[in-house]
Amino acid sequence: MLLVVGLFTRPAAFILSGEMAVAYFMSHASKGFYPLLNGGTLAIMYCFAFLYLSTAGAGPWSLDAAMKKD
Amino acid sequence: MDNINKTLAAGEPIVRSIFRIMTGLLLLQYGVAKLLKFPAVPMFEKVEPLSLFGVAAMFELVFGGLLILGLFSRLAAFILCGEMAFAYFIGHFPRGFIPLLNGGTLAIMLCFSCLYLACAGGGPWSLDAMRGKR
Repeated sequence: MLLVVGLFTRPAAFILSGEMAVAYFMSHASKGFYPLLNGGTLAIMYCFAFLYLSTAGAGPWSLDAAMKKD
Repeated sequence: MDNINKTLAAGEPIVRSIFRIMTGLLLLQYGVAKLLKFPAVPMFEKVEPLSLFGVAAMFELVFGGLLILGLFSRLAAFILCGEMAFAYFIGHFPRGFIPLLNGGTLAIMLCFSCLYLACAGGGPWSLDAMRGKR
């Protein structure tokens, strides 16, 4: 939710990234090595997308930008 | 909060490259599984090279590979973004409106990731950067 409105985007994204990494290793990695077969492609994708958002910030359409914080 | 933001912001260009490489790897695995049948996935067993799935697989193989290497990253990402949009509307959208139910979340995610990478470029760890182009 914080991510959608763009408030405290960086910390929110960083926490979500960690959550997805845990999700991958807890529920997918145990089912096999290949993401295609263990169904974890989406979890990996989310993990790295959130990691990137946490470093890049939310961009111009966000409450962070409206509050002049970057 | 400002300190956290600054610490995280310091990692931006390199994490963009890592993100690009991971996106490329995840796309490449679909191309490899569909065309070269490795690893063997039951769903992709019957994919013919010249079917719609096969052509999609070639895109994933070639442009996914380029994305990993960071060669022509923007062009490759733009084409993959279009491919994923097609994949979503051909493969998932007919099954229902809500992505959770039509199974298209990953396609949407890859589509917008590639759109972003097409605009942002490949970051410092890429062949594009080594060639001195941004």
